[in-house]
Amino acid sequence: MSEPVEIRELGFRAASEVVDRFIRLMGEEPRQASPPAGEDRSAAFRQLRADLARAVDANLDLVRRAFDLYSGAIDRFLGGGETDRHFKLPTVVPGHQASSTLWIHNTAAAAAASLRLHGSDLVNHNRKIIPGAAWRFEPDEIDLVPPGASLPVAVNLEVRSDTSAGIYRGHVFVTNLPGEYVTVEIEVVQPADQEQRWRDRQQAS
Amino acid sequence: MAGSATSFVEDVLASHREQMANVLTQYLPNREPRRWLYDLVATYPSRVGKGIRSGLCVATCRAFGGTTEEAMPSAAAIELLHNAFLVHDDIEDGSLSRRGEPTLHRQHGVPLAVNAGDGLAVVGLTPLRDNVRALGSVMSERVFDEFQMLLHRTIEGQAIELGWRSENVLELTPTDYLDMVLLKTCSYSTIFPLRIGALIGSWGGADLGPLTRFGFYLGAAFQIRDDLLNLEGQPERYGKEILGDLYEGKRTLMIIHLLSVADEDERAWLDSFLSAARGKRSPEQVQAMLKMMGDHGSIEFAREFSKGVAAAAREAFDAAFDGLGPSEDLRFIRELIPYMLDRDL
Repeated sequence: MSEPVEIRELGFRAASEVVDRFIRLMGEEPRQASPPAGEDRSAAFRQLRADLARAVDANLDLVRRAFDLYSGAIDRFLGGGETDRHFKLPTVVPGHQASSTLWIHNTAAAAAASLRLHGSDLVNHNRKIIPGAAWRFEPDEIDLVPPGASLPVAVNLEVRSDTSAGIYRGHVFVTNLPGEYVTVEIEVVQPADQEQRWRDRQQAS
Repeated sequence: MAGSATSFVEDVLASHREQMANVLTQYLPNREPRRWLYDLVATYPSRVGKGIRSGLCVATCRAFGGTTEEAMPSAAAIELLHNAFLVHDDIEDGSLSRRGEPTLHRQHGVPLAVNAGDGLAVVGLTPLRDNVRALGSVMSERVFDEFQMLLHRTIEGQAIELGWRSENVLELTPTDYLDMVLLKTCSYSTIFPLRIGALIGSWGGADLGPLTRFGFYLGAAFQIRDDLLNLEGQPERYGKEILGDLYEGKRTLMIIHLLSVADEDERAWLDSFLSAARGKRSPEQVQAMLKMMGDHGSIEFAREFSKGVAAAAREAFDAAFDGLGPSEDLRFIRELIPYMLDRDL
């Protein structure tokens, strides 16, 4: 057996070679060992750089959200000023829940405060009902939405195991935002039907 | 000195685990079907693990100037994905115990355990979505890219290790072992927890190359220590089946060394031992293998080799955290190096 010190050197060397290769593969060659003249790399400078980068990203986020908001508003304007929005939840089988994200837009000039989401009963063509109590919203209360801002809300609808198949329709409303209501649609299918649809899609593709 | 370093690291980890347990509770679904899915999904996260991976992510984020809240969703995702890997690893390895209790597939059977492992992986995605709220969409996308790399590298490493066993590959060197460990263990245990923590804490300003280097050395020392503990650890502390790696025919550094120094007869015996299915390896054969490792100095070889890797980690530490002010988080990360060599769990 080699001397312990030789084995340690082997470990040191082998590990260095392996990680050198990996870093090259990732395209992450080391940056300059020392900062260029005039560049301060002190902890305070790093913190300032990180804070500035955070601020830039936050603004980018706002720009993205504003784009989402205004593109929606333009769509509504082109559509004749309709404020009704259509929201389709994923198809669900009885005994499960359907989940999605709903965006709340405050298109008014003033901030909207103390908002609460609530959903109506959903009804199908045979007058079967998914009760309004089956809705869950996260967050279920929103303190404030500034003018022109949007907010995502996680939406869950619990569909009981005795629910009949069919397409159910209803509405989601937002208290204190009278113009913001959404028409909701969800299809409930029996497990066997869902499986058959999946097979059909597989065959078609 | 080593004792106080170990106790400092264990204290930090204990406090982190407590915080993480509360966070994980929010992510683990509390709904039907509990008996066949969600109770199983919660089983490994509820058993006390080390918490090194998520703790490293949070500490690195804070050392680079970020906050616990900013790092927590990513740390939770690391923890949940780690547990998902463990469920499937235990099945692939035929392992008997995990964190001091029977493995999930022994408790519930393979099909339900495989599905619960899938469930944990799915649950592990939820905190990444929550990153959008904690970090905004721009940084969340960068963190998500890191997670994608983490997941790819990990399954690639696992495939290599399983392939070696499946095809009874014997011509292996310590470099082959390190290449595999980099992917299988270091990626999700150290390299990416460090990178993700630094990325968030510095908000993209950290040089990730030196962190990758340090993370690899740290993770490799961790894995070699884990392999040694499997041979000589205390069952009640270690939590896994002692000598399980030998029953599984795992290509550890000790086995690779033994294969390189064994004479012709011993090598023929090793070939037959390693090519057998797990259930065919008897306790007598495993003891003979252990004795052979001791006689040929393979255990000592791995111990010394890991010290060399840890020395590389000490050297890489300064470059990885260059210019950061002193903090308890930085101390914790530095003390992890001796901890990896000394830990007994």
